[in-house]
Amino acid sequence: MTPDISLSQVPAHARHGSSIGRPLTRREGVLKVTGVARYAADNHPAGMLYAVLAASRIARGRVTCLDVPAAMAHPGVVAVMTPANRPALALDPDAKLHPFMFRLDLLQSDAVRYANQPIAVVIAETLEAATEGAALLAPRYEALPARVGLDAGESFVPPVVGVGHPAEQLVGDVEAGLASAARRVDATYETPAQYHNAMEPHAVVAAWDGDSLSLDMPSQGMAMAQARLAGLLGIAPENIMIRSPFLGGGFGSKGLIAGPQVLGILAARLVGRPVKLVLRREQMYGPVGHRPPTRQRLRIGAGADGTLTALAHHALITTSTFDDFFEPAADASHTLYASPAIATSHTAVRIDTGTPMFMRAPGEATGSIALESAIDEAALACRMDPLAFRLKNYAEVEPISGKPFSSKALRACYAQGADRFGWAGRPLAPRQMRDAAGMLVGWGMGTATFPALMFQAEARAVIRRNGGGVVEIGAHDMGQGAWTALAQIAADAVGLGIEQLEFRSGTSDLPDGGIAGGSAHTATAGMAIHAAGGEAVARLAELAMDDARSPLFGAGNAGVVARDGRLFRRDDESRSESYADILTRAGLAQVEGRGKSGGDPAAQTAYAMHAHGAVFAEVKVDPDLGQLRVTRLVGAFAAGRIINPRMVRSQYYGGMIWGMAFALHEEAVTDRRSGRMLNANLADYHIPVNADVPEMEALLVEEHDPHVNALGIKGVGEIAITGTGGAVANAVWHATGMRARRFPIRIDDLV
Amino acid sequence: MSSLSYAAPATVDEAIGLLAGASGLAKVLSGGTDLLVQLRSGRTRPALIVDTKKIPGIIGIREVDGGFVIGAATSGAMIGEHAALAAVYPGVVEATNLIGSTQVQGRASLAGNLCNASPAADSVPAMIAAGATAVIAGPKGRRTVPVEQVVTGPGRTSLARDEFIVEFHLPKRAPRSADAYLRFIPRTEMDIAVVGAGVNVTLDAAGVCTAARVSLGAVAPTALLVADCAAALVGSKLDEHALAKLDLAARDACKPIDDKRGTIDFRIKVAGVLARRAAAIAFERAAARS
Repeated sequence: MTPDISLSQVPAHARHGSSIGRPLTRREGVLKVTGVARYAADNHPAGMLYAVLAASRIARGRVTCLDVPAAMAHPGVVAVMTPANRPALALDPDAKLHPFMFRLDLLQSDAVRYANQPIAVVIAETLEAATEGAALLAPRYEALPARVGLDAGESFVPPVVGVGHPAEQLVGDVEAGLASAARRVDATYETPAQYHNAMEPHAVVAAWDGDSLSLDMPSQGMAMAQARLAGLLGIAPENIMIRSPFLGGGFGSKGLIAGPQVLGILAARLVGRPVKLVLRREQMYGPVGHRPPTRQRLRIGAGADGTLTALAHHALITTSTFDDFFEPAADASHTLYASPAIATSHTAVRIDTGTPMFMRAPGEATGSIALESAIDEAALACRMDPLAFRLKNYAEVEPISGKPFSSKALRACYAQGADRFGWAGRPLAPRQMRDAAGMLVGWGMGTATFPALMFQAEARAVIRRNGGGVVEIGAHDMGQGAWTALAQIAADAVGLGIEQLEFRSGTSDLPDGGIAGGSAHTATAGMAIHAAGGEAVARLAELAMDDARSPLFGAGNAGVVARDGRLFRRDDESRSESYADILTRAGLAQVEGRGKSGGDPAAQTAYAMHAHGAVFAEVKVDPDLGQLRVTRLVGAFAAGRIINPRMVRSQYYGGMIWGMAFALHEEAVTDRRSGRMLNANLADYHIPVNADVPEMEALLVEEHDPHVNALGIKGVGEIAITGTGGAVANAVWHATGMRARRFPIRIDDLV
Repeated sequence: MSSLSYAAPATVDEAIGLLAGASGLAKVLSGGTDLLVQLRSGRTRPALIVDTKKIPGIIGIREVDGGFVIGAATSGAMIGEHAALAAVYPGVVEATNLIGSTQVQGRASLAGNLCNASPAADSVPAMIAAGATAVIAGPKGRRTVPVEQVVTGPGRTSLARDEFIVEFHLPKRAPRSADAYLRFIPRTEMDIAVVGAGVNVTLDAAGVCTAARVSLGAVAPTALLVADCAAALVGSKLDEHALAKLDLAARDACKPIDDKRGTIDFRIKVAGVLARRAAAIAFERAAARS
């Protein structure tokens, strides 16, 4: 009979000496600030060559000529890889065997489908030679007119949006709800294309040894990359070793292996030497995914008392001509506001662009800024305070499904955020507040939400006779602090202090840690670690309880508790024994446990699972110039158990800054004539500089969730970008009386 | 195959010789904060780069005859740290220090900012307003030209291919003189001016403006010296009437373009507001120097 040692029945943070909940600093922080941390592109194996992409300067058509002899004649150039000589693949890069297999541009033809598409790779002894070689290719093209923007063609209803959600969902009778409404809002909002700009561009250092492949490569999903590469290259996944100890940011762009990384691997195959390929900043604007532009129409009906009667949210989005990724922008309206009738729908237009892809809160971010703006407009139409309006329409169950929430501390988020910000007393009308310098002052708010997801992962835990332990998992630290938070979970799982625990992560030969995406990494990898640790402790407990010499002999159903390197009898803590003594007597050097995690289908069927938050923003606007500064941001978020409050605050700050950038700065501009990006660099593609970042506060609102997983963890990685954009936009309205419906907000529109 | 030569001459004559003898495009390097970016992006592919920083005197600030001589390759950081210059020409210094980031300030120079010939260069309207002149060296010797005559259009200057700027002169100040520069950018830092306005004034003992120069940036192909703006200020104590005339004259002078950073209408409006505000600061500074 299995003894009851289930740690999950005891809230981990309630146990003595728990590492969970402590605001530890990053485990790898010293390595990073001293420059010791080796990122993928820092690796230089012996004999390594440099590969540089040549990227298309047209958006549609074909490459008619590449001056390969000129490039080859340049001193130092070793090879030029084109469709003519690219090593064969075992799988067509345009094959789509399942919905999450995205098509890659791997020089399979001379066709050009978007600007910045890779069209050749030059491999040379130096980066300079490879760069010059790529320039010497001087490609010539046969160009067709580029299809650009949301109005470029016929729109259609996509088969699914996001990760397999229906494109159209409906509850109740929206038209009847709108017809019966005393107050109505019908507004259309536009959001721009945004491109991934992680500090670390995509990189790969690839070395082949026969049919074995060794890779240094930033990845948010090593096991998925391994499987994808195995299929493309026709080799066994276990022959592919990926090292991804540090990422200079991922944000979704490194979730699936990117085409240019595969090209680096193929270049190494071609030349028979290790090869490094690093994207230039401007080459990020095309082949590594982006957030597509949207045009969203929100129709809201409300009774005279502010009670919603209908909410309709339609999103028109773009996608590429050759693949299917559909940003689920309208799905933002599924969960937040109680309305008897909700309709969400999507239509899409195919344009000459790289395929859009996951980018921090895909769908939620784009949808949230429109929804939260429209809710603000609806509150105004009802002459109600925006917070009172939201509370009036607070969803006690998930509106689209009718399911109860597994937990929802949004009321507390509203209350604590509003209190901290000082929301009370905000005048309803715009242009009512000025500061001492004469600047117009505005206050706005938005609600944040993001689903609490779980994926699959595995972990291995070892408890050693010497009093130490090891936990292994191929998890991904993108800078978010995963290794720190997961090590905290691991220490508790094996009942050791974090100093006694060796935490191994970041390589693909470890158990699959699952993808670091969907804000689900801590929950997913954490639960695998929790299970593995539990199994290792269970082994120890069996050894002790079956041994008459142990103080724990016969504990049986009473069970034991593991902490500080000892097992304690649950019903009598005076009876305990150290791991070292148990293992020594058993003649064992160590015990091992393995664990898996994945969502609980029963709980997921019964409950709607989401994290929530409320964001409050203050802006100041120069009345003569429209010059606009966000001066304060307060966010209050409830996301289940917080493993490391320091890391979580940092995630919230990052999300809030990005939300502010969504409202005010970020926008990729495409030349309508050529289909090329006009601002594919960090000088012209604006994100906030440090001086733009206001005073910020992120409040961690307590929330206990018994259903999401045994550890009670929801996700924190994406939620803060939602809510914030709307809060800033609403504050701009409150300051100026000008309603921005086109993002980023143009100062020209405010004067 | 393209090749790029680099030379770092030790004298002005050597530099002129190199520029004159170049077989293809030759570029003068001072701070390099524009040139290196353009090289990397492939926007310019010169055959020769002549680095002027080894030429004695090309970096540094001297006080001469009550005015200032600023070496062409003097960095923004050095200009910002020069207390005497900042006291007499605060507008020139604040404009120069707006260029780029702290790191860029370690290299960026007045000559580079001018000869890159961007309509939005921050130091240029301030130098024009201050009445700065550029000393240009060439095979026939040196010539001195007002800064407003150096740039002829976006990316174009009046310098011959074998000429380069060695230094700038800022004239001796009359009493109760001061300048100011303001620019508008959407972001708080690290951005290119949507509009820039430099104002330089001299007041009499009663606070009445006796001389003024006003220059606007980013509202036309080159930075403008706007005589009507100056006329609006001269004879006034910067009352509301003068400000309105200044605002109108500034708006009338603008010939901007629409781009991602701002529309034509918006730039025109902002030019008027910035001219007013810069004038107010310059008047206040000048009055304080009595």
